[in-house]
Amino acid sequence: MKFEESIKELDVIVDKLESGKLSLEESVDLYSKGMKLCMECADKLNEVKGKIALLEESQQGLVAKLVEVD
Amino acid sequence: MYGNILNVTTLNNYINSIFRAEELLHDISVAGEISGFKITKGHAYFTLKDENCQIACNCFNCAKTYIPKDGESVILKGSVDYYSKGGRLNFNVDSITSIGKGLLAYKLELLKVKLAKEGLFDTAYKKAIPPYPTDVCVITSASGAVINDIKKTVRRKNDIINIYVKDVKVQGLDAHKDIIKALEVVDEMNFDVIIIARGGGSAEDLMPFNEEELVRAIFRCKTPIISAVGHESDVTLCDEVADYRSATPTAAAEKIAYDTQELKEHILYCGKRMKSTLLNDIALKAKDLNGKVNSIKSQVKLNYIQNANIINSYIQNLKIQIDKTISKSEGKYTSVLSRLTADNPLGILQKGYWYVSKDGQAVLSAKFLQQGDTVSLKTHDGQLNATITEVEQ
Repeated sequence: MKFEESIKELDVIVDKLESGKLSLEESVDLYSKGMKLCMECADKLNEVKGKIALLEESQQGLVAKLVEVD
Repeated sequence: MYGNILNVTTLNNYINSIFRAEELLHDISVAGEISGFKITKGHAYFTLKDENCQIACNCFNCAKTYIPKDGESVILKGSVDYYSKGGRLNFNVDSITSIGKGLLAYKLELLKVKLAKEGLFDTAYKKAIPPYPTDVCVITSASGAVINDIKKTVRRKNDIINIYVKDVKVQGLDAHKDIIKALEVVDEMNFDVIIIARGGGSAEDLMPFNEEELVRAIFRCKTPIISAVGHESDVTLCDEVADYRSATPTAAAEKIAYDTQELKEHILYCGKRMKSTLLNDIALKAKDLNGKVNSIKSQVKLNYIQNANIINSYIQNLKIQIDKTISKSEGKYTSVLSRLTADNPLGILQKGYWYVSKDGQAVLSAKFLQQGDTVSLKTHDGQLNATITEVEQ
């Protein structure tokens, strides 16, 4: 699932939880589902940040090489 | 058997007496052309001739009379004398009177003018004598001193020119025909130069070299011709028509004999010059090429830097955008997480709240319950069943 879709689903979960119309079991199930989604989102964010850091590193290397051309 | 035998003295004295007695041979005037005029110890010796005949002449103490030049037409006064001691007949000259140019010289002059008018002596037709000939043919008498002089002079400086000799008559009535025949043969043999040579002689000795046929034959030749006839003062029509005139045969040899050693040195010098010119040229081209390479390099570098700058600015933009997107996502994530945490149902129960349900349904309002209803109460660490004893509204 894409990050944006996960966030949308989390919004829906939170809305449902806030409505108070759920049984305790349903709330707990929904809550743990939400927490799982949150973990996935955090993983995705970390993954993206790592990728960006890698790309920045290699980009700096490339620029250094360009400057070395003489 | 022998009749009356005389000795030489008696015979010559007898001849002498006959000549003396003949009045017709004394104190007479003779017209003719001077040839071979020379003065020795104050006495002149020469030949008087016309078209067919000639006679030897002496003029003792010639200072007393006119001194003519060779080829000059003159009238001589004197007597025929038979010189008994030498057995020779002479004309003893008392006086010489010039009557202008001799007939032969006059005819020669006419011929020269005619051929000049036709252009046979024009410099435009003169072929250049090659500076470095290798095969040279000398048309001359093989037995004369001339050919040896030429060979000796050439060999003094040059050991590579091949000298060929075409033997011809260089004197006499048919000499020019002999020379023409030789010329026509050797002109076809691809020589670099042909030299027509003859040593010095009297004007009539050199007459073959004034023959019209020979002059025309020389003019027709494909091979460059050097004329080397007689001494410096003798100028023949052969000299006029030739591509180059040498004063003497030795001078002709000097003309063709280039110094072999000098030539070798010159060739070496040329080689060195070519090499240095070539090296200079290469150095110049290399420098030029280097310049071009440098300018291409700096152009490429400039291009790289410009592109790198463009790429860099894109990278910066991308970074800003991705950072924005990430922080936006993080914001969304944080807010949804905090909402979710706030909604943790167990967390609420831990705070002292109870979850009330009836028949499995959450009781969201007091109005859904009546006295006597049984409800289920749940908290974080257990569950209770309770009965409603009173409803206060």
